[in-house]
Amino acid sequence: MKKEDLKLSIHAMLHPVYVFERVKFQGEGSILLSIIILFLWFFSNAFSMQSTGFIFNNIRQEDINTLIIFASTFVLFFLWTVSNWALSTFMEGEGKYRDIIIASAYSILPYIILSIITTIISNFLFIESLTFLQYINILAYAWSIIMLHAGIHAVHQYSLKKTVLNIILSVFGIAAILFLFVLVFSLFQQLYIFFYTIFSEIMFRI
Amino acid sequence: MRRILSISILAALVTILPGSYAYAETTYLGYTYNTWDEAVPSPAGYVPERFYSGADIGAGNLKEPQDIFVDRENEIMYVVDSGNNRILLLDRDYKAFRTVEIFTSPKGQETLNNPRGIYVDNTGTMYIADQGNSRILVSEKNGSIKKIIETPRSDLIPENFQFKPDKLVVDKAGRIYVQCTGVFQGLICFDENGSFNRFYGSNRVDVTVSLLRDMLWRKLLTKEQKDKMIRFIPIEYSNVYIDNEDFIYAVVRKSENSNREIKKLNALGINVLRIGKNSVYASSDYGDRPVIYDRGFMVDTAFVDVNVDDDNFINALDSTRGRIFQYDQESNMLFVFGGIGEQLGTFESPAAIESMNKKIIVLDSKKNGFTVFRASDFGKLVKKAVNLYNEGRYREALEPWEEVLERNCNYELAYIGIGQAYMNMEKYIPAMKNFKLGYDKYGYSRAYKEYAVDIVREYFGTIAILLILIVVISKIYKNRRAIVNKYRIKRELRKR
Repeated sequence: MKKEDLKLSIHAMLHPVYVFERVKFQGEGSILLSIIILFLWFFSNAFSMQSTGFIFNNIRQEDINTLIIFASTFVLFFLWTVSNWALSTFMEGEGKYRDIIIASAYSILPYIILSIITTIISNFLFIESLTFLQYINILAYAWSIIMLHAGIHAVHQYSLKKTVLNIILSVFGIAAILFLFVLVFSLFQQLYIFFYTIFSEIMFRI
Repeated sequence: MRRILSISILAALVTILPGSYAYAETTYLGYTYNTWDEAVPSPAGYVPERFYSGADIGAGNLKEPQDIFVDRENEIMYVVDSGNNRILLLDRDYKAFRTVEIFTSPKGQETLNNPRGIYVDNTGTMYIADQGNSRILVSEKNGSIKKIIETPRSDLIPENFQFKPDKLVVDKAGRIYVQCTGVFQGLICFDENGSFNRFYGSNRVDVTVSLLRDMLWRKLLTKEQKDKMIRFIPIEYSNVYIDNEDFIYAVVRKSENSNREIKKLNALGINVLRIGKNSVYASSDYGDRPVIYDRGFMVDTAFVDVNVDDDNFINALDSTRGRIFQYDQESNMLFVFGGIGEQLGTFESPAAIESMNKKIIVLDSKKNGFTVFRASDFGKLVKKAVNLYNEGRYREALEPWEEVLERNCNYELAYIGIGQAYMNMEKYIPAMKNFKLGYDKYGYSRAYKEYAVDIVREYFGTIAILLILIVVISKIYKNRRAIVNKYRIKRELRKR
């Protein structure tokens, strides 16, 4: 990872289409930085759950589960990229898997930064500023979604309509993958039980 | 070896001997709800004192009694012995001193047929819901009939209406509010002459998923098809109570959304029962919070009676699990006690609740008698603290709240009370700490704000001086060349 990559990711927050075109056509951007951003996302989620000021924290501290935070960051990201990549091959997308990873990971950056900021300032605010924090939160989501949209748009060279369609279908794709996963899991369980019964039956006869 | 032996003997003795700690024997477990709607064990607020059967009160066997009423001024308790068609009058020691069976009027004698409810005003006039005869009897103390109210007639009431009065209350102006079986429009209000006045305090239809689905269907169907569909009607009340300020408390047996089961109705029939905003204990879901489904049927608290005691605490009786829920006027749940069972303090079919002399009386229509509960030490403490707190005397409430916490450190309401007391004493750091323990975000925010103001006030001078110093020094630093030059020029001028 070079210093330019870091600069590029910051630059992407303000000029997403320009930067993601460069990622696609000039091979800029770094997978390593994307993974670091993912780690940051994981930690910022945990941080905001734990350290949001008492007044604004609606999460029961005993219920915080690292595995669930992991699933809602790393696993979700993985599913998203796989689903998007698989769909883009159907929908004449031009993006490589690397491009999708970089575009998606860089898009999370504004959300991470704003969520860390809100977590810190929530410790110094009174309950009247709840709406203010909610606005920042909405801004964070909106910024990230716009960036993601620009990223998919640039990486796959889609039209606006097709980008929106692609994103919505990718979300359904995640559900389909999860469904298949559960299906396969239960099938293997059945298979295991089947062989185990045969085994115990044989042992019983011998 | 000897030492071990002596220690073990001592330990055995300690376990056998009755402890010096105060504990209450109850056949049920007390609990309260915490912020996350989980039931947390708590000492019992009320303990059963004694069960009184018909023989104990000296009136022969009772048969499915349905209602009790307490005349608090004269300390007379009225028991409606429905199966035997009579009214029993009990004194303060729960001894029957009179039985009213036959009512006299100039026309002749009248008897009751399955009376369901009674109300007695402060002159001793009895209002009896005589369900089997479809009428309300208004009678003097001695049993002579003053008035008989028959089926009401009005344009609002259908022709084939069956008048089945169940429970009733009378306000200070003499208006009678009757809860009738099968009437979903609310309570029927009669004016002081006994003619129909209006429907009062009707419930609204609960908005549920099935209702919304049916509303969607209704847009598509023909009129014939629509008529065949189930009608959604508001739930009917199960019981009423009137306090001495003429507020009418009404409960419903089952609410689809498990919401607002207890209502406090004002003269216009609008629910004015407050739900404490600052408190985590208060919720609009009265009774047990989790809703359980058993074979597709919702099992939830079903209130059959409500009562308000001398200190304005609301007692609501649940027939599903035989529990009594006590609330304050801010809808904070204070205690839960009672249960279904055979032992003392539990019920088979709880029917009515009343309070007399700081005691709670629960009538059981299957056990054919009533149980008297008294407040435990813990209960007395909590009630004292809540009373002081609700009157705004936060500082005086501090001590009882702390004693409450000694007995039950999970009582979140106590932390809020203590936080409020410290807040009033302008000790913001302990206030914040206690509000946090009680999960009161609003209280915490208020205390924190005051604390922040204090900090700013204390250090404002220092901070301001520091800022001025920084500005001055940076100004000097910026213009250092010019200043130095100025002095050099001066010195050179002097040299010349």
